[in-house]
Amino acid sequence: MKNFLLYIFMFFFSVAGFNQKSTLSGSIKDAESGETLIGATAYVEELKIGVSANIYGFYSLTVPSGNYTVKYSFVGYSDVVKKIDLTESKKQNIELTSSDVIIKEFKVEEEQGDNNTKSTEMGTVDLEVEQIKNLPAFMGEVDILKTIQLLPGVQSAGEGNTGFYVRGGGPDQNLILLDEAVVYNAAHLFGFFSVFNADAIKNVNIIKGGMPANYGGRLSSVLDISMKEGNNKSFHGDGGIGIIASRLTLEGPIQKNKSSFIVSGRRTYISELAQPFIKDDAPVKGSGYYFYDFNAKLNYQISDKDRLFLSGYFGKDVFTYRQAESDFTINIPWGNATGALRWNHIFSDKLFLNTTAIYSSYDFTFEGRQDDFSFGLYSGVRDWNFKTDFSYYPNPNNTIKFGLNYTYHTFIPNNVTATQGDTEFDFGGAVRLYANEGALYFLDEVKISELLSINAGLRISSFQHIGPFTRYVKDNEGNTIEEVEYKKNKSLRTYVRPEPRLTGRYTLDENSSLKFGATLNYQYMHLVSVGGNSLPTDLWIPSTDIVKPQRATQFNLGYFRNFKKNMFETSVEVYYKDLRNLVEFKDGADPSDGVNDNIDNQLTFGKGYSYGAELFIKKSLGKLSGWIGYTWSRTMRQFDELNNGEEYPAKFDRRHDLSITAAYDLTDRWTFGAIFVYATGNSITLPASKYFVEGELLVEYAPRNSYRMAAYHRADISATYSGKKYKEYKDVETGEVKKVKKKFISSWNFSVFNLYNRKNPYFIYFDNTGNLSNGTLDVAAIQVSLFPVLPSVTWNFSF
Amino acid sequence: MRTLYIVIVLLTFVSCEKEIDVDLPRPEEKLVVEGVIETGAFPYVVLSKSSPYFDPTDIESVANSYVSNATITISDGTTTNTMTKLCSGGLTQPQRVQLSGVLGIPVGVLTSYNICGFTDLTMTGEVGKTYTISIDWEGEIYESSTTIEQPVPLDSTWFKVFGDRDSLGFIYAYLNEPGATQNYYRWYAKRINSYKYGSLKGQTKDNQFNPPSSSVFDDEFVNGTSFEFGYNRPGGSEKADDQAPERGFFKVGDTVVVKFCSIDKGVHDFVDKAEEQILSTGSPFAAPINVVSNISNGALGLWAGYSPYFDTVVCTK
Repeated sequence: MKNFLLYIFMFFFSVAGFNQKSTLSGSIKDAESGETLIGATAYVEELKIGVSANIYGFYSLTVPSGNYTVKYSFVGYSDVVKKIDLTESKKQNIELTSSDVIIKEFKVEEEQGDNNTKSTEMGTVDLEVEQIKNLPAFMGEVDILKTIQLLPGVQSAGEGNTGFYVRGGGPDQNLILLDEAVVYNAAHLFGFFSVFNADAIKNVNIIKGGMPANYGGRLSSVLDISMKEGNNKSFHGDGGIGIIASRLTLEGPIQKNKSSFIVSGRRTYISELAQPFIKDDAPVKGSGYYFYDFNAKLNYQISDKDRLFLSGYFGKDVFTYRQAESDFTINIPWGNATGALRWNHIFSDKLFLNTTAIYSSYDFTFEGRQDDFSFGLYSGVRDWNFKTDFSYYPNPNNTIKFGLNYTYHTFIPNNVTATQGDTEFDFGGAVRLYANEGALYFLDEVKISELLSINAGLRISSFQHIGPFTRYVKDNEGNTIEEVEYKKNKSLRTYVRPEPRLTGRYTLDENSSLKFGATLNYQYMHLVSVGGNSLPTDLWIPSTDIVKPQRATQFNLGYFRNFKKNMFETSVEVYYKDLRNLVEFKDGADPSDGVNDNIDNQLTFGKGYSYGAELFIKKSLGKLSGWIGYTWSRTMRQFDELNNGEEYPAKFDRRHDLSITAAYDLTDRWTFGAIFVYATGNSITLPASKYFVEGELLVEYAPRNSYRMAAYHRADISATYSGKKYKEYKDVETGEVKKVKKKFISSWNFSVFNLYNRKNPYFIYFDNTGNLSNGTLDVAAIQVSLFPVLPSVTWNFSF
Repeated sequence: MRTLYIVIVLLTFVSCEKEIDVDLPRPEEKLVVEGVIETGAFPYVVLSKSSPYFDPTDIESVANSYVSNATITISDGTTTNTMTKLCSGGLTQPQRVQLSGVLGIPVGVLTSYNICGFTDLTMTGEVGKTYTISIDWEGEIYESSTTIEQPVPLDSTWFKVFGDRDSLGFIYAYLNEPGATQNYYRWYAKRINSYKYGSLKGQTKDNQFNPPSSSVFDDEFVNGTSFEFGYNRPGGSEKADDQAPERGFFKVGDTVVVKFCSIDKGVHDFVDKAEEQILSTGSPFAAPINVVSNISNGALGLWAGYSPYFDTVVCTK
């Protein structure tokens, strides 16, 4: 620690010692819409050094004073090259034009960046939403999370499961950020759709290994999603009409070039469409399901140095079930809400500040009613978060980031209410858990030599479980031996943990590099699931005086190589991850039992590890683009109180996981896409033997997760037919034929999901037929699969 | 959780099902104990073996699963006796029917095969005593103990029509829970009146005491308090009154004997988990749980001491 502080001190000292330097800074934006371009680069040709814009499009480069040629570039955009006189510091805002707009006559030589081999980041993938839109989409709904799951090292647990799994980590170990606000449950309809409406999204970045110090609070990955800011030059819209949902996005300037807005909504209507076909006297008339999403964002450029953003997301799934005959109704709404107010301030051409205040919540409610009996269940989590992040660009060899983060959490793990007429049943009342979470971090991306760059950082995180709280202390038999009351804001337990992070790159030659990473992460909240499948009913539980923070230590090493002038990007990465203080429910736990008990008394703690190798080949240029990702991995868990203390495979332990995606631009009008996935089956626990007591059939289970369901594989295809993007007209004066972009563009997307109708297993249940008393009892294992071959068509438009 | 399961099944309107072969390693065969000692009654123990879950359960395999080549001793703390083997071949048919009701062994099995159990006709259950059995089977020793606890009387019991039903309702009881001790309870009921109509006319409605689907509770939340609680009517048979709309209800005109047993923790924990397993087996949204037996050496099942209190309720409006 001492050495680290000394380093920081020495560092600023040395920076102060230099003079005769000038700084070039500014923002890089899209010329048409005014959207900032995240990750666009400014490159000084003479010095062969460059810098990339941060997520607000801000860049800063400090070099010895002089005259330079600076090249600004971004994937899919044509370069802008500027001669810049840098005898003194200068501000230079740049607008890049999409290469799509510059029509054939100019035919810019497309060039793929060599970011793959040149950045220090590893286990990181950036996806442009436009890239995703050419791939087949389930029911025509373009889905970012689904695409993320096609990357090596990122797994889905199959249809009907919420969440995704990164390098052997659980679904709670992914930090999902939408404009910096934490999204606790990113799935609609049990994971068939994600909550992210692609029309409102600008950029998606996933970090699956080597998490830099500016991120924390989760062990396995960061999925950082940036919403579009809204076109600040002219009014536009995007939308789509599909077979199950429709979308509409509107954006435009409020004050031209100064402020803009974007609003985006999506709603499903499958159950409304089905209603007319359900007979009025059908027993379940009135049952249905829908979800909706609403995204909105405003941004205002107050001055050259200040910019404000206000963004929000609100989404809900609502399931209703009615059974008229027995007067039985169920309502199950669940969903997320987030809001973020951000202020960007440029202190100087070298120092950039982003300060954010965030609200984030997730709620799950279950309401059932029959006659005068009603039953309710509520769980949720609510955060108030304040963070401030500085980016400091002292010289081209160092990019420094530091900041702090504070969150006030309220957890409602499970709140059961039941009434019958006037009688209220006691389930222990609403139990809430409160906590403070804080973090400080500092990191430096430093170029040590021409060949070696590192990103070294330290994050110090802390978590405090605070009152009001009643702790029920239990003995080994589960009897309460003590009750301890804690007053409001009284600390039950405080954890302070250092999290050192290091990643680096060593350049081998022009086209290849070695990357390495070693990181230590802590996580203070835990998602526990009662059943075998992850569902919206899973509970978020904080670290408390008895639940220690989860810890992950990860090591990774990768070899990156680009071929044919960066036409092909390839990489091989290996990783080892050690996980401690993982949380599961004890066998036979009942989370609704809150009477004289705390939910964390029902938890048990264990450890795990995962190792694997990931292969990635990507082609981004040319008519045919796509990637192949393959992962070989092994993920195990060990809990003293589960499975007799023996090690067992995690549910999502996958030996093989293969994804192939391809998009082919046949003509300007026709684009084809295809996806193929193959994954080793999920492991589940099945009954091994049966016995009878009091005439009832009881079972003994085989060791935990000892059975493998059949492998999951599937192919999807799509074809997109786009309307003409340009219209031609003849210039009356010169007689020249010119092309002008059309105001209204539309396209048809035809997708076929599960092309060869593979019956992939969702779950297995047991069907008992006959009965014991006449000796005809028979048990059959029935495998349930969700989706057969499903064609869909969507009409998309933009203006 | 079950509701959510229904929800999912409904949601998956395009889902499809197929029967699959599950290839699991053959599980180890385990000894299953089912033994009872009740105040004033002879103890009995029936032994069987567990079998692979997916093997068919026909009459023959059920019959073959019973174990008779064991030696069992029972001790009440002072005397130790070797239990006597009694076999179904030596019983009368009405006795077999009675036994079938108690043990859940199909009458056909008891009739066609010589199924043996163990008893001790010199010992009856006494309140406050702890009974230990020791089973010697194929060279292994399995042991278990259970205590006949002090009985806890119900203050009162009554029948109440449910909601706006005409004549259907539940049985309720009022309990003054003793605060000094930790108590565990199991509830049974038996209708002793006869059917007045239909094909079963003249037959007694229930032949034995039946536990409802969640029959045990402990005093964790209610220790030392006085409170009211109710139970529905157990029964999942093919009889007409076990179908809607009467299923689960007692009826005006029924005479119901309530058997309210004090049990020990081992019995409570076994029955509690067994009942939970019966409700959740096969649901993909429930965690798989094994039932914890109170027998040593890895045997399954239960050696249970019951200390009953009886009360009779005449169901009137």
